[in-house]
Amino acid sequence: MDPSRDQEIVELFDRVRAGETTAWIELTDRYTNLLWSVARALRLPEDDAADAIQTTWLRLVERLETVRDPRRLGGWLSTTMRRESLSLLRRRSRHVDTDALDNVADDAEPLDAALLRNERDSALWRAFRRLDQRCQQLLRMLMADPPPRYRDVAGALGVPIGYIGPTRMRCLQKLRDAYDLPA
Amino acid sequence: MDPHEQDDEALMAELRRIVADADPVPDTVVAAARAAFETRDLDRDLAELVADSAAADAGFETVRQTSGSQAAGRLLSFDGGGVRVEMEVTRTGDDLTLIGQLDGAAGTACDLERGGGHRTAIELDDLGRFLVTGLPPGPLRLRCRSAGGAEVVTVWITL
Repeated sequence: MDPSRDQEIVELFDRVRAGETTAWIELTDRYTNLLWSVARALRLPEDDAADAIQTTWLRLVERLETVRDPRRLGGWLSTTMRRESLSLLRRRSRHVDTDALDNVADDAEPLDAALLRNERDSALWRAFRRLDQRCQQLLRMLMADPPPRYRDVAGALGVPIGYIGPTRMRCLQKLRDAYDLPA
Repeated sequence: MDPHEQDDEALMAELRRIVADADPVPDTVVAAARAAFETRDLDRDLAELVADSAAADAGFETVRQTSGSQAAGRLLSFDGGGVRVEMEVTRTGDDLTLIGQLDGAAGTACDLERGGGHRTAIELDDLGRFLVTGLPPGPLRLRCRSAGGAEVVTVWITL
């Protein structure tokens, strides 16, 4: 799919396994924003998000020796993150139906409207928050920086990779429609 | 790229800029991710999680009690490297209590290791039982020496 990026990860991972701390830092810096985006998309409050991300990285350290295909690392991280997040949500908060992410409690508004720079940003964000849960979850994950690969987002959502592209298009169109409406 | 695809890219970039501003990754999260590498330990056996009463078998689960404390604890079992650990975790507010029993460990103490690298010794009685109170939530694992002399750690678990 993207051989040069795959090759980069394989080389980075080799350096990590050889014990190079700088390579580990590079690796975590590359994916921590995605993991944060996954946690926030699933509506984890900050503390729980922090715990789930830390656990995901600790698990990778624990399993470094047994990773067979480093090219799949992004997918491993995002599915591990999804599992940790759902498990925390289930234990720490309220009723969660793990088969229907639509039902994840909406009690962790991640953005303080007052923080938004200007009227246009606030309007766009309000429109985003009016989207259905599936669209919000997908788009919030795609807001990760650097932009994540679809297969990593698919892992975090527990959906097939072919779901991502068309749904993204549909959700962005919905967002545009909602955004054009008077508030 | 067709014009529509270009519009989508521009809109995504705008959203990405907004969250980068208003919901950034906390520095502590980045620091914890980087520090996780310090827990690397090649010379140990792993005790896997073999049972967890909080595992997602049922679709729905009621967790928080109205009183703020959980009536029933979470039961965890670990097994591997010649060591078996059974423990129950109860939570009151942000205070965790662990009650458990170790089978196959040597000596009278094990270490409780927290995600940030902090370690405390926990004492085992004659039967290998232990009690830890006042523990904050977060990832942790147990580190013991097996009767056979091997260093054994449990997998990380988030409490």
